[in-house]
Amino acid sequence: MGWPFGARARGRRASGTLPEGPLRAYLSTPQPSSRTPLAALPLLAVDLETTGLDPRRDRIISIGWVPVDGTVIRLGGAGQAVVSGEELGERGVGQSATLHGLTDDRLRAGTPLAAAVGVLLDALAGRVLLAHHAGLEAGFLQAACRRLWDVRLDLTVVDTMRLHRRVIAPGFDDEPRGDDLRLWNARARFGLPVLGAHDALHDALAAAELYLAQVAELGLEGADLRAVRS
Amino acid sequence: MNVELTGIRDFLAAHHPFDVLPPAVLDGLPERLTSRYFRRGTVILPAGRPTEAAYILRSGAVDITDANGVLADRCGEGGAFGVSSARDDGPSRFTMTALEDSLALLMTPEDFRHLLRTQPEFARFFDEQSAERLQAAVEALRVPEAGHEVLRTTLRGIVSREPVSVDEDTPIRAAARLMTDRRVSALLVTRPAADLPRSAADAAETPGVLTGIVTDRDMRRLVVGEGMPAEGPVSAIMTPRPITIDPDAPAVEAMLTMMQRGFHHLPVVEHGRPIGMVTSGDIMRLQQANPVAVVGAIAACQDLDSLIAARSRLPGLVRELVRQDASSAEIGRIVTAVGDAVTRTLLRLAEAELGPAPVPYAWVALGSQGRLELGLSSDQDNALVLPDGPDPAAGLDPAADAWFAELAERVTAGLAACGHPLCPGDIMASNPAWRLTRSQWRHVFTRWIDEPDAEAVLHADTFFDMRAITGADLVDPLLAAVRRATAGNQRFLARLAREAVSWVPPIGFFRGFVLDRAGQGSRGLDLKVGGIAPIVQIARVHALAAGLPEVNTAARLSAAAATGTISQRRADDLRGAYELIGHLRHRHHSEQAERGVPADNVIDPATLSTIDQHSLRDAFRIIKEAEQELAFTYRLHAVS
Repeated sequence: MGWPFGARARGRRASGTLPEGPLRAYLSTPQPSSRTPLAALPLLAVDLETTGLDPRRDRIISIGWVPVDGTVIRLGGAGQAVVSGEELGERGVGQSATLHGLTDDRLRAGTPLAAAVGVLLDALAGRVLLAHHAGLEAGFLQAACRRLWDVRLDLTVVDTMRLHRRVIAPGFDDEPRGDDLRLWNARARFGLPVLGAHDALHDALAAAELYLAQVAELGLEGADLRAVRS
Repeated sequence: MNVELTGIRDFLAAHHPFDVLPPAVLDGLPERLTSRYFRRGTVILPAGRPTEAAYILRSGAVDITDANGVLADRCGEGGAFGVSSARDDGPSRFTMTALEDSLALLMTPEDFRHLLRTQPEFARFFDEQSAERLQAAVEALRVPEAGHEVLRTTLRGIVSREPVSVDEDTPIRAAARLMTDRRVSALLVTRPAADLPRSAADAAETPGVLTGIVTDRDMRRLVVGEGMPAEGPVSAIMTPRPITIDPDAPAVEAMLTMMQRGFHHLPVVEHGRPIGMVTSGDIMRLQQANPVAVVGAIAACQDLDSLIAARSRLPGLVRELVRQDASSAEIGRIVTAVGDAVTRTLLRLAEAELGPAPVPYAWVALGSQGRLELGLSSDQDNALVLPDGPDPAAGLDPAADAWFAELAERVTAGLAACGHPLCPGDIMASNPAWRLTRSQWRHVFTRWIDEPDAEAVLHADTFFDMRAITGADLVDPLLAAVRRATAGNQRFLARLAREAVSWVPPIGFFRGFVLDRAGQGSRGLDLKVGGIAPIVQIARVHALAAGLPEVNTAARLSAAAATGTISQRRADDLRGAYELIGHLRHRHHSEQAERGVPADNVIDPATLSTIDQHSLRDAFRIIKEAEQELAFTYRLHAVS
């Protein structure tokens, strides 16, 4: 499903008033058209580590990404940013450290959120956002842009979790078990390797590899963006 | 930006040959790669097309097939493919097809070539000049534990017997009697430890504190020579406060101390208490894992029982040789030397009982013993060559044959008792069919060479590797005639070549299994069938074709290269492959001997290191190429 026309228009208007920089570059770079063949579709697999699941309350603490050009993952374009913790205030990373392994000390050495999101937007310009359970990534990014720059971020999204629902439950009636949809279980179905390190970058790579496997499995090599867009 | 693709880096580092790259190179590699996914059945790269990349498989499996659609290799996780095309920047000779859903890392040909240029060890892995690579693998195999086994043995491992000791006050005469009774040439003299409660039982079991040592030399010099009273205390003639050695000292230290001081005995003392005595004889025995000593002992045997005992040292000897850095060829020669010595001793013992031979004779070793390649598990193959009588057509007279029948019976039975099993095909001197005069042998060989039927091919393996153990002068003219008959005899050689190429080496290994050319996997790798037999046969064809006198496989290959029937490169490759497989076989045998399991030639690939597997794969490929060349030379068809 696409974004409402109004939001897109607001995005364009906003870009005109923004200073030179990643956000403006992002907003002024056209998104791939819905008829772009998957074989030529530029995507960016993204994974965020956050302090929780609520974009309104919780905060991004690290970002990992890797570009996918059609059916090729470009490891050389991979990137990673740890967000400095000042935004988190007194609460710090709290218990979420047990999930992402990033401590307040590590964060202190990180980049301010605006710069981190800026680098990501740089990488994302002209690309489709690819993520596992992509609603979370999209929600956090949009919340961050709204807070930082009061801009509604216009995103085209491909969600490997949604695609995986189609892989394992092609019929309408059989509802897949939630566990089967988790990233690492979804990968296991294709015999994809277990990556040594679990961080935002490796989870982004994991989603990218899963996407390639799904496109092959679903026989979508000849299809276009409409076949996979969320 | 510092991007750490540690997952990819660690994956590469876990697989050969990327594991040899310096950390800095490895760290910089992931960001230069791309990744692609191939569904099962996808042709990743068709033959004849240049490749876009060198591929490293991250998951799944890829089949590599040649232009005829025959499986040439199968690549699993961590394997690389498309490399020769990437290296040469030319069309691929093979078709790469995903056997399973596969995820691959792609390195640009430029990056790959850069690595080959700058990282010699990495480059060697992809080098198709296999001789050097196999040579390196053989070298690497051969130094599993540096240092000489004997020198690392500690005294604790040598001292087995409780020390024989007496109290200081013991009369000299009683001490002398004890030495005689216990058959020791030195006695420890002790004083009861003051701080310990002493009971009769303690006194018997716990030696006291060491105060001196008495040797039979002291007895001779002081008592007999200088007339010291035999009723006096032993302390009067002992060497007080003797030099001692710690049980954890290496044997070599005891050896050096004894050599420097001219001692023959050293008390081994732990925490002030003697726990044993090491003698120069103990050190000498240590060194008896020495082939010369074993062969010498065998040659000195006067009966079958002592011969069996002397021969039983062979498995331990082979184990030592494997542990040290002996080559497979050396081990083969040593085991053969022992087998030859056993045979000669058995012949001598039999002659001593049967009386002198009625005519001079030659006892010949055949098969692996003939080739100087005897292994611990080898069956015996032997025969007798006897002189012609006045009428060469008549054969041996019955009385003489009866004597040789008895000789052969004793020797073959003796060989079996010593650990060389009887030949299941009955190719032994005890079989009248293989107890022939020279003319009869010539006739037999001529028939095999002129009418190379199945029997001839079957027997080629054994009889064309003939070597005289005794009576070389009888055998040499026969072998010279055989060589003249085989040299350039296309029909005969083609039959042998056909047999040689029918032994199909496996392709390599895939997920812990031996992969054969049909794409099937099996758990056991038969080193004899898959490697040793074909190389032996290839070498034999080349040697017989050139009429060479050599029987040893490595020697045949070198000699064939010198005459030009085989290229130097091919000969080097084959010798390297033979050495490698032979080494693994000897290692396998000695491990089996250690576990008390009968020796065989079947190895579980799971017990092979990745390096061994890679080297074996090279060896298999070398064999296959040599077979293809042989098939071409002799115009054999249907060899893939």
